[in-house]
Amino acid sequence: MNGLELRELRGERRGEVRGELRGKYQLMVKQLTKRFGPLSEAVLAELNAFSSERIDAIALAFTDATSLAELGLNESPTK
Amino acid sequence: MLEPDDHDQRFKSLLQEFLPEFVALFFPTWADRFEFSRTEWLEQEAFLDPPEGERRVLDLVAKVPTTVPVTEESDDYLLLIHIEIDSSESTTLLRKRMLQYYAFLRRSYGLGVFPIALFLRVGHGGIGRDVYEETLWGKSLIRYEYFSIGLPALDGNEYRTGSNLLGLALSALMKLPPEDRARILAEGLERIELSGENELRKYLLADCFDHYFPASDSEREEAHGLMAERFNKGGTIMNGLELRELRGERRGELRGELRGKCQIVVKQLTKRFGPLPEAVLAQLNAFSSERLDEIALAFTEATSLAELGLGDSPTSSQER
Repeated sequence: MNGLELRELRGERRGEVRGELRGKYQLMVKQLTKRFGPLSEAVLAELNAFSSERIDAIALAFTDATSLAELGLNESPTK
Repeated sequence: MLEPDDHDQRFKSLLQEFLPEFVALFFPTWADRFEFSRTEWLEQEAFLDPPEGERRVLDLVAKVPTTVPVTEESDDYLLLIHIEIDSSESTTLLRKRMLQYYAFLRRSYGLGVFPIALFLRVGHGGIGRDVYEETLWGKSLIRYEYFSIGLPALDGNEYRTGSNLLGLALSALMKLPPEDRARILAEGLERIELSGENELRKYLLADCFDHYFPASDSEREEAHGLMAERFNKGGTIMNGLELRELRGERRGELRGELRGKCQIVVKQLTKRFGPLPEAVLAQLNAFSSERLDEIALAFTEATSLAELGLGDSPTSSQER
């Protein structure tokens, strides 16, 4: 593997990690919006700051949740 | 270079994003007959020999409203554009399947079909029509014609210098002069990078052009060197290494995004329906981002995996 390929691979790995988190975030936003209506800026910001594992946990809890608060998401911008 | 999975996904992503440009490039007189802003992509599995026969996934099927009736006799303003991407060395294998796909789409949707075979390795006369025919003792029984595009027969210089950037990207698979490859590659990548397209579209174009461009390692390195001399981003010159890293990063992001969505859907479906069969996992892994979105939005109301269009067949008979 030459230097060009190594750099490309390095970028690819970094991109995959970022993309995975973005994919999870995008999917959760769609699901939450469908069930609870448009999400506030505060909730979007919270979700955007979560780790991959935290989003996984929300995704699992989502199946039974009846409110955003049940998922630990606070709509209050002053939280 | 042209592994089926590799080229399949690359071209599907590219053509999904650039369908209007694709039609304008190869069927310019028909381009304004479509309302591409209302395109709906269909993830389409065809049972070629129902009920238990071979099952295949059609490469690309788009349901697109038209501005004129699809046929002179009908009031239909909706057409299916079906594109099959073929990287084999021959056009023969695809012919019968094109007829089977056509029959399947007509039967399933009752809409007109615009069937196109896109050949990556066979010139086959460039842009034209291909025929599947069955005969009995020399007499024709069935004669089915569809549109075909053989990229290797087309003049790459004409397409790479035209205004349609998809033409530039695809010119890497067309006839190009053997000399000056590094300069041609560098100019093409530079044109894409400096275009007004968004990051995703630039990535898809550059990825196709760079991946298929017929250059040796040294020509490729020289091309990136040429770009480094001319390419200016945010006031700093990006060198070839940085460009390659950036390109890798964009590709990784797309792959990661798909994987992230798939992971969420698998977790949620497993919680709701129990451990998923291998066949379902394979299906999910092969789905597009849009298809995963659909499942994620529908699964809470579904009472079975089958309701979501998942399962019910051995994975061994599936193909993307």
